[in-house]
Amino acid sequence: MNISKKISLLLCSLLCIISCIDPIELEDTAFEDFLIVEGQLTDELKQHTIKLTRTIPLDSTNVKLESGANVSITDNLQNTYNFSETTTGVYNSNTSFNAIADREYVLEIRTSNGKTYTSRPEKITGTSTITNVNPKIETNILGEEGLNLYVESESQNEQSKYYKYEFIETFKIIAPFWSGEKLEVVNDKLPDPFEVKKVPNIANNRICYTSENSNRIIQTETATFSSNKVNFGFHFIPKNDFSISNRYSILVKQQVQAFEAYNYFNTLAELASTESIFSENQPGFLLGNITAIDNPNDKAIGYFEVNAVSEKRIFLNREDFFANSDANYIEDCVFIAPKLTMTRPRGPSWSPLIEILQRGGWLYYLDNDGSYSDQTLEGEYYLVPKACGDCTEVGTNVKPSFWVD
Amino acid sequence: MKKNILILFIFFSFQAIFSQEESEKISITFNKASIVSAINQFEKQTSYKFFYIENWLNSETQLISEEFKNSKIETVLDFLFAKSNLNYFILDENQIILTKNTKIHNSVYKPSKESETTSESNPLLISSEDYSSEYKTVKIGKENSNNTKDAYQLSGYVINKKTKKPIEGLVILQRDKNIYTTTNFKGYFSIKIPYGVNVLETIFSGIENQKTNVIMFGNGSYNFNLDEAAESLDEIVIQTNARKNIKSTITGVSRIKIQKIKNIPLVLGERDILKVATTLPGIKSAGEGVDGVNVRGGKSDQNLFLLDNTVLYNPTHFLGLFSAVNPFTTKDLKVYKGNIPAEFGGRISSVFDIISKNSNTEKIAGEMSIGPVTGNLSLEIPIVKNKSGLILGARSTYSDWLLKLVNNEKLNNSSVSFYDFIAKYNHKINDNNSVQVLGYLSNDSFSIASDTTSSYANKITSVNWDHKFNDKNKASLLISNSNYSFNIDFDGNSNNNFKLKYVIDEVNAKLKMSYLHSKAHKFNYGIASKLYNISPGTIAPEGENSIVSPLSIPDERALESSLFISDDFTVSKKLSLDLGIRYTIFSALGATSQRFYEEGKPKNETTVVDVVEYGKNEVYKTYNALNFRFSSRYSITEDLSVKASVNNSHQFIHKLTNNTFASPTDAWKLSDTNIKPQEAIQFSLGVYKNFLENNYEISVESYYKKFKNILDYKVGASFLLNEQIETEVLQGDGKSYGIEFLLSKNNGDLNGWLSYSYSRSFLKLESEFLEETVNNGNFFPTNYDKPHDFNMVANYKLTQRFSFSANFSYQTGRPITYPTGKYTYQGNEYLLYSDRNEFRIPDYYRLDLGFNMEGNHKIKKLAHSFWSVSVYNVLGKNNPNSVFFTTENGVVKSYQSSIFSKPIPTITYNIKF
Repeated sequence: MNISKKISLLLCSLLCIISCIDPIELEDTAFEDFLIVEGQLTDELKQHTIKLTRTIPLDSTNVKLESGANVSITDNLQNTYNFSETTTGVYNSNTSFNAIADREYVLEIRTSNGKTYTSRPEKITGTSTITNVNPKIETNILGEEGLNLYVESESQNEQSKYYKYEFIETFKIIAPFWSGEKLEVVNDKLPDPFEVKKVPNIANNRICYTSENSNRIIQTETATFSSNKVNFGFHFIPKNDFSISNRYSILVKQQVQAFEAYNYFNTLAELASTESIFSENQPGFLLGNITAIDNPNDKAIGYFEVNAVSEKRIFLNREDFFANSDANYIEDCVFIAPKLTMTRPRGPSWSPLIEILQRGGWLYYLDNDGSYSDQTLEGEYYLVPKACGDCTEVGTNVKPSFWVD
Repeated sequence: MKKNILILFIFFSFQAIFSQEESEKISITFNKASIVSAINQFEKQTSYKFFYIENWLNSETQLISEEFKNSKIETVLDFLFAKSNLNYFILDENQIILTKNTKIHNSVYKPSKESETTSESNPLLISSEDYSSEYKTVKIGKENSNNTKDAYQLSGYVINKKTKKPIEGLVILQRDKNIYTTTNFKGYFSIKIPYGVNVLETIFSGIENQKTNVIMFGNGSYNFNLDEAAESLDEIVIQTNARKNIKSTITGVSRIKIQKIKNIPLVLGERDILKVATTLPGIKSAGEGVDGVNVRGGKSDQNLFLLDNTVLYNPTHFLGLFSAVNPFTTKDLKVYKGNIPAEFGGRISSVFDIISKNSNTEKIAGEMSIGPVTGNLSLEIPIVKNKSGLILGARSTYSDWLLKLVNNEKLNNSSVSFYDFIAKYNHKINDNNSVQVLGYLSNDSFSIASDTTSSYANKITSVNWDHKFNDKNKASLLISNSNYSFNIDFDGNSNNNFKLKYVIDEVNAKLKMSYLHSKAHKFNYGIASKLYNISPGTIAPEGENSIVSPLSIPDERALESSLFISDDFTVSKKLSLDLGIRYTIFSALGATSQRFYEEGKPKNETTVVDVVEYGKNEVYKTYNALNFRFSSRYSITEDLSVKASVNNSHQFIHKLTNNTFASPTDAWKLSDTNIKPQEAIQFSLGVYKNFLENNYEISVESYYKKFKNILDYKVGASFLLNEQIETEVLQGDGKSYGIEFLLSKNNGDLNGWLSYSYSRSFLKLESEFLEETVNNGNFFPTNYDKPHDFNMVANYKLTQRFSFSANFSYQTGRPITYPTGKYTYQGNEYLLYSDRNEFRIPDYYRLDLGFNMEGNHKIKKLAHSFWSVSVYNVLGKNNPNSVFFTTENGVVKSYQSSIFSKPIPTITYNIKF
């Protein structure tokens, strides 16, 4: 969070004190149909992707993809890289290529209805290399303790002043109430007595891994600093967050942005954030660098960036930071112990345990040895919600190739 | 007009004979005329009219026969009254006042600006000095039920409180019975008035019009100690009270005298003259909990708030909920929203001229109030008796009552506090020289979640010297300093603690001269100069661990100097003009480094072509501005006039507000190489009418304004600690127009006013670059464009002790930009917005009620007290001050935020001694 944003947040809080906020009905407004262009060119050698969609009405939940467009990128040496639609609305370059310093690239899109959009010529602004990703224990503005992840990078370019970050977090999940055994239903039909038996749990479902992408615009700048050295807290993880239950890894991707691009994304983030409730930025149409050639009223949304990228991955373990405390598991793990057989005043008896096992969602954990004494825990076995005993509910048991234990 | 005519106003037709010469010459022939018919004839043939008590003339039996040709008016009058015991005095407004036995001396009549021409520029006048209209009560004689006569004799002396000299020729009037007498040269009077309660009024030019409840039980005596009225304005008021409002012929009808501001319902127990101003047409509050007002379609930074002629940068406390001006020490407020007098400059929409009281030099006086949020105390302390005094005012919050209204755990450690302090010393050295020294300080601080303290402060010091050279020439020299600063002190647990500081400081010198050239011409002229020093921001890391790098944006410095001259020109009885010119030169001074951008390209980091360094105090950019302030008034009849004005103005300082609300941490920025001064030109026309014996005043004013170089901001602009403001702002043209109606009833148990205005305000941001263009370069409504604005303020006096008041406001909701669709971009969903300000938030309306209870009316009491109970927003209308939109989990939601969504009751105790 940059300082001015923080200040506006502080001022907001003051108004919050005395103000109240109520939801109100949305008014009907005239819908406008525009093209959205997502995608960028980086200095990574790969097949680059451009995604085309269209705006949708406020009450719509569908994504409207733009199919059948001609997409190409041309540099100032007149090299043209054509793109083909691989899935609906997603266009991949036919060849692998990478952005080269000092070359200007123009994105051109011709949609199926015959309209042509072009970007301004863009080029790599500068490069910067991530030197370190550094976790620190901190307390955030809301008073929560947690890990703040700092990215450190250095640049020799004077122009490298604006940065955007994306990351992928991958973390190990250990099912907290995993058992080496599971229950199998032997007989669920009357008149024989109900019967279940314990069998070995042969599924590899104690340790899993899961990944999450960053889902917000993260930016910083060094324009106000004396050197283009970044030391920026880009991601705060509260102490009890599920992601840092065990071993954790993050891949940070840094892009050096052009000033205009930085401005575009910075404003986009501000317009969308709830932080701006009281600072009330002027909302409006945010013009990127892509315009329709013939008709300026036909707007295109999006910013075609040509950026240099730097990546770094780190691993960390919970015990190195919060050794004596446990994080929250993703699911509330409660125990139940349904009875195997229950009689009814009239009619046949029935088995709550078998019914629950067959319905799914619960797993055997332990025999009911009275260690969790509770009157409602009457049955023979403790059951836990599936996610608490089977990590494949929340991740994959395939260890990622980059994972280092 | 039949009953108790004290001062007779005679309607006259205009057949005045004007020579081209400066002083009016009269040709008139009297043929065996009584003095009364001679006066009538005189009035018919000239533009003069007389004020006198009819009885005085009844005793004059001689008949006059004489012929005058091109004679001076004095010659004629000398002849007319030579043998009578009447004296005359010629007022500048072609009025002749007759007095019996006494002679009015010229010095009493200091023509004041307010009482003169000007046009609808004439200020709206809100005076908090009229708080107490309560009369003093005296009992004369012994109450004796066995022995009552119809009437008793009251005698005594009338003394000028200040000079201790008797007042001669003062009229003591029992209005109901039309009984009056006049004091003799010793100030002695004797009057026979009825048994029981009588209201006695004292009437004399230049002396306060005092009303006293005199309860007659027998013969007795009573002495009046009367204050001098401060200016001839009050003298006019006396005549107003004397049944005939001649005000409208001298001044604008758009002037409102609020007799009882204390009866207007309060917000959070605070009386607020700036809030009252927003109930007048053309002055709109930006919203609840928002700094600033918008005057005639202007931005909130275009208003010049002057506290005793020195700029007050932030006239509000607590995000605009309270005004920073202490009501107890404030004498009056004039708002110039039309034609701004030439002596003022630098802001293009209005001038709020706040004048504070001078201390009582006779005895200690004071006022105190306790409300739910603040306590307020003012004291007037005489230092040298009858010469000098010191007035002190202090106001402070003493509770977090407001915060406690809200049950929010996060706010447990939060606090809000503010105070303001004013001290003014006035010293009358002699009849020709007086000095005033003012010190003012206001401070707000609030701390949120205990780790951040924000504060802002105004500081003003000024010295003013008034000097009178002679009866025609006066000078006033002001030297002052005004300082505004804000601080943000972030001291959390993380390593980004910082301290941020912003300061604007101005040193101002102004010499204003006035020259009464003649009846027809009054000149005001002078020179003013101010030096701005802005320290736009320093940020310093706090604590050893802070990673915040220290940063200081270079200071800004500029000199704004002006010459002004205006002529208040009375062309004829019917037509008067106010002609003013103001020339300003603005010099931006180094040290600075200024960027030059590629011609014909949008200003941003990439289009910089040159950076030029300038040395300290080197003039790097000069702007010249020539402003005209012309206005005129034409009286169609005695109580109907038309006024027209045209004026233009320049503004060299801009408040940077990157959202629709102004806030105390908005920085002011001076014009420089890249940021041009804002300009405005206004044309206005108004009609003013009084009716029903001047109990009612009605006015209709219309205006058309054009603006140039109005600052607007690129979407999401950030100004704090930004050296290159020009890359974040856009400058465009604006226009606004409107028509304003005001109906006021000034007297009676039921009084108040109704105001309505229809007004529009537009802005155009046009550029050859799409990124600098808004709404395709067409005019669009500004954030403060609220076409319909209706206000009603009504007071009803139930008895002497109890009164009710009500205040109703209605405003069209302000424009907003509305989402028209949505889209997904890089995994997040965003809203697509309509053209700028295409939609509006719901309309605003609010009703407040108040109830005042005066203390008892004992004869001898130490102090006068009253209770005010008021309920703000009685209807509990949830008035949105903003509407905003969020996308949460793919669902677009719309919310409104409002400040006072529930009725807010307050009780305030006031005491005056």
